[in-house]
Amino acid sequence: MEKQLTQKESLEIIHAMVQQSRQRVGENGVFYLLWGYAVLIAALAHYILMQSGYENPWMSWILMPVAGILSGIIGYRKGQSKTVRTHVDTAMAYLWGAFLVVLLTVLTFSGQIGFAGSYPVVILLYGLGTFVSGGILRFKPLIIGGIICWISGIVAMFSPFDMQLLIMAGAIFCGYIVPGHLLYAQRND
Amino acid sequence: MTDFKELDPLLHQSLRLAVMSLLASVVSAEFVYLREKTGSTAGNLSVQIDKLQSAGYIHVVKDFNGKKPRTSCAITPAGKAALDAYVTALKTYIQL
Repeated sequence: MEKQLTQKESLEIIHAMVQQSRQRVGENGVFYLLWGYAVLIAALAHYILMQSGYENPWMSWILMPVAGILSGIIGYRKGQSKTVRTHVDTAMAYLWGAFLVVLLTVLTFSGQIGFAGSYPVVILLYGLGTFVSGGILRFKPLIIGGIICWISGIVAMFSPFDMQLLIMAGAIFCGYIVPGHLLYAQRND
Repeated sequence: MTDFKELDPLLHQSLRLAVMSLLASVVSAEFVYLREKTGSTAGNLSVQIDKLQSAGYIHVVKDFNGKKPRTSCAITPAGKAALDAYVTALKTYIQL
């Protein structure tokens, strides 16, 4: 026969289990780092190639599909070994799915609005991604990073194209790389 | 005089209550996760999951992850309502 629970024990179980189900946010860090460094390198390489008079400096962005494939593989592997799906996971999937749709739309039709017009929009979009995910994960460095991206996006609107590349590199450093490292450091907490 | 409400006997058992509390905070969880978090044995957990499923409190999906069998559980709206009612009833016993 099962032992009868006391009311206090019942409350303790509920409390303990809710605490148990709290997610470790650190595991998300790797994606911010992957994308952060890919954008940083691509933007800086674009700038350097442009300054050196290379014909197709934008070729540096070829790095992005590579990062896309890599993060797809990492995401798939993590998904396979994951034994729980939280509301945070769902919210993040919708956020970054929407982010990707808008990003690809802006990049695909950047010929229509001009490269100089689309990069500031992309920086603003980076800000949206970090700000919202910072809210979902309750991780302040991401929220601050998002705000920095937005300010950078506005500054970029008033800057020539080559400067926009440097602003983008700076924004991605503050918005993704720094918070990404801080988040990654927490992965085993 | 406080009106004491009857506690749902299906939830008033430590492992079943633990499973329901875990499932209430996530979208879905696998058997392995529930076993790890509750610290129960596979046999006991399996029995309690069956009981919760029969009551319609949780939804259980069995499939394969590659070649490994996988059991995923999720709380149903009826299960959520039952857990809410259980907590409300608990409050009548403990003055909160």
